[in-house]
Amino acid sequence: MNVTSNTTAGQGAGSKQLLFFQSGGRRFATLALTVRDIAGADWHLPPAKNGGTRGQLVNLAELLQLPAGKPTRTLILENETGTWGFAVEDIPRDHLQAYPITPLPAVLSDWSRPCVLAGFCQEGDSLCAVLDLEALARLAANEMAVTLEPEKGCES
Amino acid sequence: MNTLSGQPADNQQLPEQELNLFVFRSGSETYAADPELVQEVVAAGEPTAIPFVPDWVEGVVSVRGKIVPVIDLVGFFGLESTTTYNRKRLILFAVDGVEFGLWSEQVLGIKSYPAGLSETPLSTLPATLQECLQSQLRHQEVLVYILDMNKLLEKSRQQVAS
Repeated sequence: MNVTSNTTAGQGAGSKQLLFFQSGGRRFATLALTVRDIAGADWHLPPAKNGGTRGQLVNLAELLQLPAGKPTRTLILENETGTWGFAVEDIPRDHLQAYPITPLPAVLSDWSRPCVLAGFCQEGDSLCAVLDLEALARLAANEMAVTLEPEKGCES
Repeated sequence: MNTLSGQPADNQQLPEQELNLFVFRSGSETYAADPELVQEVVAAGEPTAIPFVPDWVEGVVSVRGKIVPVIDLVGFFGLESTTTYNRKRLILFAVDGVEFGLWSEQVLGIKSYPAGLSETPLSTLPATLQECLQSQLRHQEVLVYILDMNKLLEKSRQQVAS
């Protein structure tokens, strides 16, 4: 599934195209442009290119330390650390919508370690956390490598 | 009458002076803070939870489009289970440009106390609570913990960094 198709009309200047999904029983969003593709739960990691880093299939709820439900879909991301599949529980039919992203309050940069948030979007009366998939991929890579590099907070 | 920030340094020797405090209850304790730090009291809904924050950060709420982090003060001080009190009102504070909310099950509003009632916090209090207090006072059988919000913020950052 191409994530740039089936989009909802934007909601004004400054809006970003967000992809909504459910993980760990919670609703999240991420920047649609960071997701290369959406696959089923049976997605398999492609072979490594030129002996480079491969990445991994990660249950996003477990990575976020949330109760893990049964994954049904996989969000695929490619970056310098490899190809990553983030297994999520659900992707709604209207998964692509445009919203302005409100940045994190500065103090959350101090309280959130590691910081995997890009900000928040307002959906009616409720807020939805917008996850930074790139940061999550780095976190997963660090966890796989058992690196001792300290996790960084959010840039405020 | 003085607020916490405006009181003279020698107020212990001037019992006729008064402390002007914003008083509220969370859990089974009564707290007070400098009223100048209180922005407003709102009825907020369930905060949106966020990953990788301490348990005492309950999440964020939107107040007229502004994202405000919410602290569970009872949990932060490690006083009792965070599920035992009603989160009826959210008190919004602004401390050195940092805005955050504290749950309160009862807002008592601004009250004046004789400055001479202020005393050193008990050494038997939980360490985090003790470190975040400016002082305490007893008035009409009620023990009021007077919070130092700057210390509270500093302690919160220390807890996360450690």
